Amino acid sequence: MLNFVLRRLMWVLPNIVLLTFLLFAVVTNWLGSPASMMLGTDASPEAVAELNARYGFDRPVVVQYLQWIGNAATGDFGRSYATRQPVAEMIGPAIPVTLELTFWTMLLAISATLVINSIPVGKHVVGALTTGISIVGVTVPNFLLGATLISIFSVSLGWLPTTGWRPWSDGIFTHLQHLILPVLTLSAYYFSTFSMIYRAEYRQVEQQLFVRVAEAKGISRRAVSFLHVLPNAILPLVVYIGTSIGNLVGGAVVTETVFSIPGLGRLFVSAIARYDFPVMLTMGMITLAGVMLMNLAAELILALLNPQIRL
Amino acid sequence: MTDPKTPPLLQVEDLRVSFGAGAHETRAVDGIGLTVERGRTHGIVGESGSGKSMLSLAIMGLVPDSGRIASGRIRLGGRDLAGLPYREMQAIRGKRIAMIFQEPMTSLNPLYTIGRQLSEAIRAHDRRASAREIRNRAIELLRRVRIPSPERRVDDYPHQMSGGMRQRVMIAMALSCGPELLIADEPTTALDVTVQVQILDLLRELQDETGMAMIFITHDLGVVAAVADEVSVMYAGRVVETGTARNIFEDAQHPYTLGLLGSRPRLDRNLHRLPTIEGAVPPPFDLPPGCRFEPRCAFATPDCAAACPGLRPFGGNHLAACFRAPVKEIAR
Repeated sequence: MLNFVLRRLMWVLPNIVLLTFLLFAVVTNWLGSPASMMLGTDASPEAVAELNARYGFDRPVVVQYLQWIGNAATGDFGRSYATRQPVAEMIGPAIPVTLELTFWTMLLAISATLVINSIPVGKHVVGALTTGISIVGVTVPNFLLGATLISIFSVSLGWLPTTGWRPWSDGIFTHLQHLILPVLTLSAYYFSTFSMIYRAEYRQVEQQLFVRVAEAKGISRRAVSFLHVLPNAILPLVVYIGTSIGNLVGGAVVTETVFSIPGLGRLFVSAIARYDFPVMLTMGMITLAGVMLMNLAAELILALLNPQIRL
Repeated sequence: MTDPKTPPLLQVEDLRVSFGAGAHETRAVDGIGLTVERGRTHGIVGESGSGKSMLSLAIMGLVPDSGRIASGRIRLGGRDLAGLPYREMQAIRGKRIAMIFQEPMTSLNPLYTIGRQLSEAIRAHDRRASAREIRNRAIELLRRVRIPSPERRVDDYPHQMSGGMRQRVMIAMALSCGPELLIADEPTTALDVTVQVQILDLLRELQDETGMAMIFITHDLGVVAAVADEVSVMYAGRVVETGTARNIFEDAQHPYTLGLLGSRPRLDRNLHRLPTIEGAVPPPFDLPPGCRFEPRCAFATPDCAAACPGLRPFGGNHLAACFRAPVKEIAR
């Protein structure tokens, strides 16, 4: 097992270095020059050169990259060009918000996918229903779904707050109340895509002979579904879930904006709007690391589930 | 043959398994009768598409959701199982009737050890046994099906075993609750010839030990000759001839049975080509109006295309469904 993890890490680490370097090069050099951002487009060439020398923008990209990594390792991600605040201070409070949003969203989407699509009773009705929901969930854009939910549950019925985020210190109930609609909105999309993948796989596994053999033992339909079909049908989904979580850790841009949630997604949008390179760079790195690490986690889970991989 | 007061172990009467409805209804099994006595082996022979696998699934109560038992009875020791809901069949499946399948390579769940899969079969019908006890029983079962060092193999995953070994595991699983009837659906077809013989020997030995009855489904007449006491020949969802193994092999009446016997490779005759039956089994949605074998039959008359013959006696329990039978004289 440890051997497997080490082998995988040896593959993942060079990948992370290469990708973060590419990201760094793209953001610092090709998207526009930091000097023109800070000084304005009509600055004199001398002023630009002076600024580049002062901040080290005239050095080779590799050197700048190593410097950035070195600083990042000590918790220094630079200062925002727009607000002059340290990036770590801006991003720090947004991380737990996005992580919590990701956690609830994935918990709901994964458990709903597995339970609803595996229950052996009322297959035809449930199947038609989830297929319908999946099509809606995938095609309707998140901002539209979010706005619809707000207008129904917050505006018309008045059951839930319209937008905003309350910390745990405001009380668990208030905290969770503000989470319900954004989590529903986000998980609708993930439930839909997960369900499509899972249902297709489930139908295939169901045809396998070992499922018939399990039935022939005299065990219940539920045991057949959850102990024999599910663990096999979930395998292709695991990798997809891993990537989805990784992406979501980078911030749910649209949903956070619609519900005014102070997470990474909203920070990212405002950073892009202001060409705030240090923030964009750090955010990109977080997303990248999230996706890579979640992929690794997915592979580990696959290896744990499937004895044929461990060899 | 047996005491008329005790019912046979299994008696299938006029069983029909349908798929679809109305004009689109097709019958994979169309009016089959079958009697299996305790401790005996009933061989069922037929080409693929003859409905023999669907018959076994119907007896197990495992007809796919798209199909149903349209009519007929499946009596196990007098109790009718036809149309029992899944939950009620649960107590019978694996306990009183067990089944082994054609493909040992895909019969086991790849994610679990064979010990866990055996334990599941044991626990399904014995909820009070402790984990320790169940594991010991699983090892004992592996020993009974002659798997070497069972206390180690019990923790193996299916991919660590050969096809023959996996089929032994399947047999162990089927025997786990001491079934009265074992349905073996082409259990040796996917195996190497030498392994086939070992598995057949094992099944016969286990049958002697336990006294269970067997339904042995195959398309291989050689295998039937080796194991069966009684034989039914199926064609396009119906039984066309049934009787003792001796009846079928030495005194076949139906042209289809004769054709199957003629298609067997034999060492004592030097033929350039094996005789074959021309054509294929008609699919259940495109059956001829009269006798289902008529389009392929060398002895067919216009009468054969007009009506479907029923089973007629040819001495004792030997029955055949053919207007022209006995055809041996015609052939001569």
